[in-house]
Amino acid sequence: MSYPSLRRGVQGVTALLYNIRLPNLLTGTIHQGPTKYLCVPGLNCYSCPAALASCPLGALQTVLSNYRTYVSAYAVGFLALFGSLFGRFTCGWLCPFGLYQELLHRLPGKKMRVHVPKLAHLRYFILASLVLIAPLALLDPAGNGIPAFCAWLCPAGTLQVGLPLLASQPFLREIAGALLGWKAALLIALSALSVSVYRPFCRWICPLGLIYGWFNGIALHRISVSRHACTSCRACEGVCGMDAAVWKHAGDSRCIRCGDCVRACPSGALTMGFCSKEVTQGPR
Amino acid sequence: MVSGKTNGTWTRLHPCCEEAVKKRKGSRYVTAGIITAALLLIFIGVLTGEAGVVYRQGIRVCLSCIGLG
Repeated sequence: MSYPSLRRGVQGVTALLYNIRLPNLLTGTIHQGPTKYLCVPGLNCYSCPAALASCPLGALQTVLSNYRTYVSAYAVGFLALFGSLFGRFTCGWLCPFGLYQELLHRLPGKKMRVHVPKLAHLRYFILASLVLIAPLALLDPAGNGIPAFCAWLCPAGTLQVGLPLLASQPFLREIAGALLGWKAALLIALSALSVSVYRPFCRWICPLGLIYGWFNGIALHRISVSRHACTSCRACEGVCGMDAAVWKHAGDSRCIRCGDCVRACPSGALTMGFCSKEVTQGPR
Repeated sequence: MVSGKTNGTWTRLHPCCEEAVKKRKGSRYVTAGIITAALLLIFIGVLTGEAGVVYRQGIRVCLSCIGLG
């Protein structure tokens, strides 16, 4: 099976497994089993009635906002575990919101390559301000910290929970206000942009992908570059939707391990997998 | 001399690749160390009750989290 169809299959199965309690969507009853103690690797809102487990970013903000500690061992442990096992393989293969953007990108329409490296720095600001500082510094009337990324920005929550609940629970429409309008507008804008630009949320907004990117160089799942076979033709860079340059640096934090570069390499210099035994990366 | 597996056979490596082999083996130790530390952090999180906080948040629809609160 080729990488694209295998990857699409894994993405679909993963999205289904993350939200295996599908009948709950009809009743609006949230799953309360012990699996909610655990986090899934990808961005998947745990307020979704069908969700089997928790979102690592949501868990991090929850502990920070409820516990008032400056670090959450539990959430950081999950992030480090998934990061060191998969790196950004999670983004390319195990994230339902990534799949959503990719499906939109397959729709007919003008495709653009937007190369603005500095825009990716926005993710650092979002991680620091909305995920780490706001839950500690901003309090709601009840005295709890505000999970600002989930509340103000996360489009996965709007897509998976906000809009379906509004459709199924009429009383919620009465309490929906400007915040939901903002989040719906953001989701619509990101969805429209995804048709033309490859994974705009992952490239410029997602703090989860930013964290996993830090592990790309040391994760068990990795890309190897044979320096003897590589001709520096940059074909891999040309097909990469994330603008990663794996031929220069196999652990490029932008790489989501989609495998397009491995297929495109004319000299077979790239290999991808867990614990790759090809030991040829080094100076030419 | 460090040897490495290339195309399924063990061969002696060119000196420039020896450094890469050493780095790669070193990075595997780093990865193993981080995985161990991550599991330890999760265990600490269970002991300190953070897992319970995550669970309690996960079993209710958080209206503010989805922009309705």
